[in-house]
Amino acid sequence: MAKISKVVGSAIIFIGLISAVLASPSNNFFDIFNALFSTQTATASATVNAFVETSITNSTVTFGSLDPGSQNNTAASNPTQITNTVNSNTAIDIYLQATDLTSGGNSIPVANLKVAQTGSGTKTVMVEATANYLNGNSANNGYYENVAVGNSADFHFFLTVPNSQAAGVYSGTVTIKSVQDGQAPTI
Amino acid sequence: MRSRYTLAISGITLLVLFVGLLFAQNGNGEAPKLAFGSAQGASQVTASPGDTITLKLYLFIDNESGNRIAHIKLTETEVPDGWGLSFDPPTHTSDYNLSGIVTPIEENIYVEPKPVLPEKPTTNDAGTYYLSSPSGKGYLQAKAVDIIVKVPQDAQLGKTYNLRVGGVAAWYGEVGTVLFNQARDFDYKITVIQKTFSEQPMATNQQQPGNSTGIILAVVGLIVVGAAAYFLFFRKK
Repeated sequence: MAKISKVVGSAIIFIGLISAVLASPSNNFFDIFNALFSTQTATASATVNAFVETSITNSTVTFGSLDPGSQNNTAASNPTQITNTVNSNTAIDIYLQATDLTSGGNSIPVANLKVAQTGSGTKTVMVEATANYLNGNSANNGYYENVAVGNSADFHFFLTVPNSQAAGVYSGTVTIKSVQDGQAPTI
Repeated sequence: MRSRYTLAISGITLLVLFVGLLFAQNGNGEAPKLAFGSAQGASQVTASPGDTITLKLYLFIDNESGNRIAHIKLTETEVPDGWGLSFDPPTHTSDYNLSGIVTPIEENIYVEPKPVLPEKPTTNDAGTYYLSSPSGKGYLQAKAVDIIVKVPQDAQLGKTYNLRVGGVAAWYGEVGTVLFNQARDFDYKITVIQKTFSEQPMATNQQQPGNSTGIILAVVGLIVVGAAAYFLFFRKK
């Protein structure tokens, strides 16, 4: 009889304890558990700034004296090299634009200027500065993609002089846009 | 005797001048390298409606990467409606003497090639910022342009606005068929927040703290436990 009383009493104590825990104001056993064995987390944040430094080895592209009607004349200054220097901390995509070559009131259209990645590589027509970029205007569409820190990219330029082009000293500009890898250039 | 001294001094002077010119010629004769370095101070910031905030854009040329002065002009490429954006120094035209020819150049700032310093100087040159180079070589000597942003009063709280500044570096005095520019975009994300932090719960279906029913039940449970323990262990048999 005494054993039965002890068993019943122990059961009542157990049920009572569980009731007290579950009925507590937090009404959540795990809250109590967490309160006893809690770990607090704090958020730490730091932003590493983007550094980009690019360097062009030739300051200009020179073709020398050319005849009207001559095709794909190789620049004497080829190749021009662009380096993503060690002062950068990000890979870059390189986009290109160019202007017409002008001499007074005369001009050679930008489409007559071509670029290739090697001396014998595919020659791609340059695009006008105000319209588009080479190879395109979207992200990851540069003429060179993902040039790593410390690496260089070669540019070989070629010029076709139209038939009966007026004599003169012609000049234009090539804009080299370095974009952090994965971003799109702005027109 | 005196004329001999005069002759010797003149000779030495001429020699020094000749050597100096030779060194100068070698310096100028170095193949041109056109470098353009940039670092954004902070590209993701917070601001409140009506605030005016200043973002730093650092510009530098390591003299191992470039040996010509770069003239840098900034433009507003993407600015949300109603927002204000200006630069300090502002875009202006300055005259430069390029090999004897006075040339007007439009720019915000010009940047000269400077060496990377192995240690940060204890005294700062005015207008020079020392940035730790990612190369680990030391400190880049940079100039800065302030990009001043005016947040409108009606900017939406919690919204992140995108700003984009375009920069073009140009070099002058070179002669050739095709000249080079370098262009770069600088993107900023500005999240609009309230000036002071506040927090209020919005949900209505969560349990309210201090539930009196729960307390009563807990007390009753403990009384039951106490009574059971008393009858079980302390009551006289």
